[in-house]
Amino acid sequence: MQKRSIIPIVYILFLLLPIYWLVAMSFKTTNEILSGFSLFPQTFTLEAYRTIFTDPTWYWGYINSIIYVSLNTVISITVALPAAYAFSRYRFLGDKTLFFWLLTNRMAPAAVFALPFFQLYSAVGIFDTHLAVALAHCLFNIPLSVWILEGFMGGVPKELDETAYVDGYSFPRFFMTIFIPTIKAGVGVAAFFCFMFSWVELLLAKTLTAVAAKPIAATMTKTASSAGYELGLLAAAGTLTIIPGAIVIWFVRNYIAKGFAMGRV
Amino acid sequence: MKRAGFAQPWLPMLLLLPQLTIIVIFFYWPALEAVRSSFYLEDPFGFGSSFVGLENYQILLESREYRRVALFTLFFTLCVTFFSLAIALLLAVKADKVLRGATSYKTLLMWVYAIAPPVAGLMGAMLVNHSNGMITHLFGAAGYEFRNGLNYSDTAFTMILVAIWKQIPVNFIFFLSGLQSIPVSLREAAKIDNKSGTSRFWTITFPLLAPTGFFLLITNITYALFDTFGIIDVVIKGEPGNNPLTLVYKVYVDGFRGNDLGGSSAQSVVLMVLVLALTVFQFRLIEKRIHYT
Repeated sequence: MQKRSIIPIVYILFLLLPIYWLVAMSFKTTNEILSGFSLFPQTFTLEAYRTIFTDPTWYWGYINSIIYVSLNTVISITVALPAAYAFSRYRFLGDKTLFFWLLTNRMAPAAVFALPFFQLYSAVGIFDTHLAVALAHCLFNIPLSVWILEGFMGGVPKELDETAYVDGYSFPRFFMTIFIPTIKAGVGVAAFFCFMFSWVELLLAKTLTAVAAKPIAATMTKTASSAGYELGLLAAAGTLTIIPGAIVIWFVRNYIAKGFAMGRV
Repeated sequence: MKRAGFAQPWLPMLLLLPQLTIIVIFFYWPALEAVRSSFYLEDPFGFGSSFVGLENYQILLESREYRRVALFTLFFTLCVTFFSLAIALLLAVKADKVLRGATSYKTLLMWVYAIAPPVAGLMGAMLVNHSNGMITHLFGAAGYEFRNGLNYSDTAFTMILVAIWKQIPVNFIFFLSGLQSIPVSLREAAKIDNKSGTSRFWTITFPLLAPTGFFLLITNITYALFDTFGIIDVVIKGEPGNNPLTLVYKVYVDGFRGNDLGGSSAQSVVLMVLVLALTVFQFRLIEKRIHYT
């Protein structure tokens, strides 16, 4: 037993070492970072975090990211729920083909769409708004949500729908008050993946915003390429971007296992 | 007997309408727009554009730089896909015996999944930082001066390393779920029949994992080609210069930095064809559903 656990432990170390390095660096002083190699912070400082929480260009990055990510999650789930229901409950001509074809949209490279989106948004006048990024991310998140939700809906017996129909429920009322609560685990998993994708996506978020809706990742990469290269500050900003994901993962950890078991993630 | 239910014929179409609308506006329209502008040459001073037919493509195919980038992309994709799949499989097989149903372990792995590519790139950049990076020190101890951002192959090494590191947890979780769905009775029967653990792996476990493996192969190729933008952007510090680039990064550099809209669009179309090929391949795979159980 002891010998067997060596490999997982080594792996965990390999996985966590870079994360540790990032977090440790965020607490080091600039002098210490530049002076050379050290495993622990010699003088512990919160200077980098103080800068982030007081400098508007930094903390607005976080606020912008959170706004468009939430907006995107709401839009994606709202659009995906009825579509997933249609695919799960009805048989129509070419339904399977359409289902997979829509799903594969998700594989589309963001780079292809960056320029046309840029032109479209500039023309409509929503360039550099939170809505611009949220809508662009829908392209990837709606197919994924439909795919996840359809899996969860498949597990709900059709008798539920039929009973509600016989009982005289109208479709919208049935859908909102009975069906959605039944698959709320699925909604949670789908929302999680929308959140994650939108939170980590950089290319579209970077090219479709300039100032007003600039995401934190773009602020970071800009700082990373500027002359000073303030590592401590960047490390702190990086550490802070990991936290929302970690919190969300903690909440949905049991559902995710289910999502993986269905091969739907 | 006709079953009761919400069976109005217009209902499914109505339910699908929002998704289809979004797909048309945000997928087909931009895709067609990219194809259209790939036939035009943008005036450098912004005075409209002129139709040049296939000239953008011709320039692209004759460009040595583009060929170099394509070649590097191929190398990058092969390395990332192969190593992240192989390492994840090895780890999953080893961990499978120890970790039957350890949720906390999976949660830990998911955290790496939650790290944004640019942050992963930042971690890599810190590990190879010239003055104090851990990896720079390790190479230094071995007598090699590691210079990320200056030396072409050193930068490529960093990019590949970070991309693999980021992708292993995802593959690992899928392989682990795949392994744990193999029935215990099958494993025991194999144990009785077969002598060595290695041959048991290649003849029983490996074929049973094939569906998961194929799915992951496509996912990993897509990941290496397209989702590594953030990693590359940070590792090369946004300075293309003499650094290794992938095709996706080049689309971005030419389109947004170089303002070569036509050329960038032509490159986009090339990428789209690539995705289309992968999609059709995956589509066939899902239809056939390689199954052994």
